[in-house]
Amino acid sequence: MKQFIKKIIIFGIAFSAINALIFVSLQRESFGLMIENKKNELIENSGNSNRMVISGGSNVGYSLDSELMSEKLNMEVFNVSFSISHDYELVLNYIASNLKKGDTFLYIPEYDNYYINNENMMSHALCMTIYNKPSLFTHLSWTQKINFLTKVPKMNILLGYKNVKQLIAFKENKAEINKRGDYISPLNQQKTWKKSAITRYEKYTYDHKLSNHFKKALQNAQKIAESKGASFYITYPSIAASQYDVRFVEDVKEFYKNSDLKLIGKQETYIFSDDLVFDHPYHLTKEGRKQRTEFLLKDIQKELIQK
Amino acid sequence: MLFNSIAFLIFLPIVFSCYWFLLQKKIKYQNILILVASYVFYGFWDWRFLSLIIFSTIIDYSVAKAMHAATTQSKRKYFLYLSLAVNLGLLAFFKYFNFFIESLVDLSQSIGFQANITTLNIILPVGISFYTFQTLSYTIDIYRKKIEPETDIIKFSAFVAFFPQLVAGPIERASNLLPQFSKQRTFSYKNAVSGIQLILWGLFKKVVIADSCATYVNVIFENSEIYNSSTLILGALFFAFQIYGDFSGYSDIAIGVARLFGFDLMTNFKKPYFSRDIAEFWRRWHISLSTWFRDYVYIPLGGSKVNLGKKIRNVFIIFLVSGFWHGANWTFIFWGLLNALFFIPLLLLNKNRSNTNTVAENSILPSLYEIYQLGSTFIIVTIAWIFFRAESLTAAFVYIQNIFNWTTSKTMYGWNLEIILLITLLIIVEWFTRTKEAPQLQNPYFRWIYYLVITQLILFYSVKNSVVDFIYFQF
Repeated sequence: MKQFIKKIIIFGIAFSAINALIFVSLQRESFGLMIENKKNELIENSGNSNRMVISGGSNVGYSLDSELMSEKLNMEVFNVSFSISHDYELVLNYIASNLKKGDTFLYIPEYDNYYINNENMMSHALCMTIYNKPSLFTHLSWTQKINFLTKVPKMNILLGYKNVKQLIAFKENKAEINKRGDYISPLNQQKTWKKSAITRYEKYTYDHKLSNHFKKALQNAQKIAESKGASFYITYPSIAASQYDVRFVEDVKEFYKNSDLKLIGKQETYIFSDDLVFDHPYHLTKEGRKQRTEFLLKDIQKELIQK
Repeated sequence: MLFNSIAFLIFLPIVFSCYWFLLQKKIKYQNILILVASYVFYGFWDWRFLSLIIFSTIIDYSVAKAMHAATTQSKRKYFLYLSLAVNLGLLAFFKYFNFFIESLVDLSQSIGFQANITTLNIILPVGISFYTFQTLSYTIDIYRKKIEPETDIIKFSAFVAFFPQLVAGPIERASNLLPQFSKQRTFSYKNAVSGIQLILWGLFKKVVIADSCATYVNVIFENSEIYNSSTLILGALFFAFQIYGDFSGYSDIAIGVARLFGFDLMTNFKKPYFSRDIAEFWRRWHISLSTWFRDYVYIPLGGSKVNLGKKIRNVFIIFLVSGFWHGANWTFIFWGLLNALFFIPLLLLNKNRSNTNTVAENSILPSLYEIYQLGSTFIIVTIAWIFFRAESLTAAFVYIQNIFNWTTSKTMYGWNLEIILLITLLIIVEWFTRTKEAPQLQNPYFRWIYYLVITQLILFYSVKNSVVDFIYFQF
């Protein structure tokens, strides 16, 4: 029995050690996460205070002109968007923890977020982010941490595979960002989006039960931001007109009812003609971005003047 | 609880540690632990259906004792019928009630009557066909005076609910498994290692092979009308490997887990795709079910010791019943019928026992004739699998019809090199280990590399392919 247990333990250690070795030694850049690296640097290494940090899903990354915002608001504006696959709780906690006194954190959730009830989400995108920046591991929930560890062997194989591909000079198309974090590579590309017959609301596979977990994550981020002397606001995402659904109005109203979360603007302001949509109902063309940014600027200025 | 789940990964070491460290040498407590663990294992799926297992256990325990104590043959027969009625009644209700109702409605409509009978929303309890057959074999063997009834309710309950094989077999005989609950179990390093080897190989077959194939099989079978001939052939081939990987994988894990606890379960698969004819295939595929039908249906009907007409009737009966055992759908019955039709010519030519040894027993590779035999057997088995997998008989016939519809206008899909390589790897490994139960490497360095690589692959594919239920859970 002792011999059996000893060998099982040795096997466990060897297996973990090999995976840990792969985890630390492989070339992470091949994972296509340079963008995230740069975005992390935007908030972690920026020495200024009184910044505006905007985050959310890819809607923020693809549909905002932070340069224009910075110019009009006369302050540093950074676009630290991730994707819907990145766990909102991790993103909110991570950004709120890196705020400084006087900063403003503007969070723009996509409509999908209001219905994501999976507290233990551990998507590939999120796994890759942890690979890219292991210190983020501490921001995961316990279940997510276990979930992540079970995925390490797979990620190691994927990463190894990508490394080999890089060795044979395989080049991937990577999205580029500007110095403020906006995705700029699509600006000169042709629009590719084809509208779906059903609205975004109907496209959800979830049961449309509003996520209490998401609400708690927002409230927690607000608490962290305020404890650092920063302010926390939420606004609405831009969306293609044909994919918008009026049922969002009631749902979102219900979501924020009796919460002390600060909302900016109205949903209808950010509904855009399908002509201005680039490759996804949440992604805008160059002209769409400009219009959206101007609408957002008005809403922010109104809020700041009221303040 | 699934064998390929995190819950089982936590459950197994806990039960194993308690079993060998806390309760070593206390056989009674070890049996209690197995019973509790088995109920937890089953209750993880749906605790309400535990009552069914407990009910079946109490009935068969009591009936067996009463039957043993009965003084006349008629009383013994009465208790046997009681056990058959209860067990088959439960099975009929949970598994076949809606099928009978629907078939009755279809039949009445076809002869011009309008029957307004509604079906019920019945959930099929996982593993009901397996544990029902296991307990039936117990009462039948008592009736036949082959075994004595068990007097310890804990041992008997643990035998019925033994978690490694509770939900998908092997369907154990009381004469093999029940006495093991009375014997002192001592930890055997050799058995434990072979158990681990079987678990790893079983997980590889399930997680890496079967679940990878499942992704394509589901898409191809659900949309067979849009795919071209090569895709449909590929879909059928993938399903052949999916069902083999899934079910034999489960059996390997079950046998391996049982070995970790000092139990020896019967072999359920002996590399069935290396069979040279359909009779050999059925001696190698789902052995515990085939032998169950042989012992409790075929032989009582006279088996092969009757005239030719009755022999043919008996073959049809066991294949049709076997098909029906798999599920309440005409597809399974037709699948059984097809296998009977493939089998009958061998019976008529008296060649149904001509291939009882292992193929190419004394050589590395098969001869050309053996390759032909293996290939032709695999093809007819795969054709029958199309009926097994299809949603309805019509869908199965359309699927086969479309295979022969040579058109370039349809879509090609599923030619995934990765899966084809994995299946090739499986075939090579299984070929070189065709007389063994799982790969066993003598060189310790290669053995450790094998363990590390196979574990890495299992974890990789378990994340890649989302967790899929074992197919045989539905039976």
